[in-house]
Amino acid sequence: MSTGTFKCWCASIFGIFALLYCASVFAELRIENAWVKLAPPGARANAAYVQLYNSSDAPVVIQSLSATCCAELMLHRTRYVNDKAIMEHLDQLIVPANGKITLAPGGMHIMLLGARKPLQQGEQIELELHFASGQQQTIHLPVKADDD
Amino acid sequence: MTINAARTGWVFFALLCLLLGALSAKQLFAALVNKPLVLERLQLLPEPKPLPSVLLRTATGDAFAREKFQQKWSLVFFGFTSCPDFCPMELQKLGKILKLARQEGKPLQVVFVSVDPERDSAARLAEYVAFFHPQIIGLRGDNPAIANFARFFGAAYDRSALVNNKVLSIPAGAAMPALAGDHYQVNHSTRVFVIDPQGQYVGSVSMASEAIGDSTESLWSDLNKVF
Repeated sequence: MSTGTFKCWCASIFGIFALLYCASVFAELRIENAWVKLAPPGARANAAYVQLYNSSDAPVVIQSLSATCCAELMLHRTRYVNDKAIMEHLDQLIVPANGKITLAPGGMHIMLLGARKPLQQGEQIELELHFASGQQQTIHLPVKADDD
Repeated sequence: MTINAARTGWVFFALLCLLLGALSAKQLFAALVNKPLVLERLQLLPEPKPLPSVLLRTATGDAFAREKFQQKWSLVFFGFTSCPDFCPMELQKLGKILKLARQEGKPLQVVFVSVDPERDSAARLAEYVAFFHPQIIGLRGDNPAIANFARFFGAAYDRSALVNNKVLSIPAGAAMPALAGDHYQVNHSTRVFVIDPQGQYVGSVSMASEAIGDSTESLWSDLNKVF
C-alpha cells in the first residue's frame, strides 16, 4: 500500500468515527405542530408554538433562540395565579430524556419581538434553537391564524 | 252478565292505565321543569348585580353608558393589545361565539375592555378587536374609570415594569409612570363576565387553562342554557 492510500484510509476511518461520535453526542429533537400565530395588525409581538420530542437518553437544554425575521426571541410561559394570567420569562427550556415538551396557546410559548416586517399568513419562519451543548437546530414554522 | 262484568273490568283497567300514564307524564314533566341548571363552566352569582354607571368610550370615541348593556346579552373581557398569547387566544374564542350567536339570531355583544390605556390608543384598539371579529366592541377610558368597572366584576389586574433592575408594580387605577417606558407587563383577569339583557351581571367563566383544546363549545352550550 502506498503512503497516499494509507493516509486516505486513515482519514476515512477517522472521519467515520468522528461522525459516529457526533451522532452519539447530539440527537436532533423531533419537531411537531410548529406554527407562529398570525398577530393582529400593529401587534408588537407574535407567539410561536411547537412540540419538541427528545428520543435520546440525555436531557436537551435550549439556552436561546434566534430568527432572521425578528430582532429578539424570548421564552415565556403564561401562568395562572388567582384567576389572573401572568406572563413569566423562562431562562431555558429542558426537553427531558426520552420525553417531550409542548408549547401551546395559554401555556409556554416563544415570543417573537421586533419583526422586521409584519409576519403574513402562509409564510414560513426559520428559527434557530441554540442548545447548551453549543449545537444548533433549525426549525421551520408556518404563520397561521389558528392551530389546525 | 259475565261478559258485561269482564267488559267493565277491562274499561276500568284501561281507565286506570290512562290515569297512571297521565300522572307519570305529569311527574316527569314536573321533574324536568324543576331540574337544576347544569352548567359546565359558567358560574352564576347567587343574585344578579345591576351594573353601576359606566364611564368608558368605544374606540371610535362614543360614550358607552350603562344603557348599552340593555336588551342583549353581553360578554365582557379585560385585557390589553400588547398581549401575545392569552388575549389573542381568548378573543379568538369570543369571536367564534359571536359568530355562532349571529348565525342563530341570538342578541349578544362581546366587549373587550383595555386595562392598558397608555399604550392602547383608540386607533390601535379598533384595529386589534376588528381582527378577531368586526363586531367586537373595544372599550377604553382613563385609569380610574377602568379600575372602577373592573372592580365591580372583581376583575383583578395590575401592571409591572423593570425600573433600574427593580420590579415596579402599578396597581389598577394608577397611571403608568413615564419612567417605566414602553415595555412593561400587564397581569389581568382571565374571566369572561356575563351580563343579561336587563343590564345585570349574572356570572362569569374562568378561561384560565393550560389544557390544550377549545373551550368555545362548552361556553357556548352553557350560554345557550341561560339565554
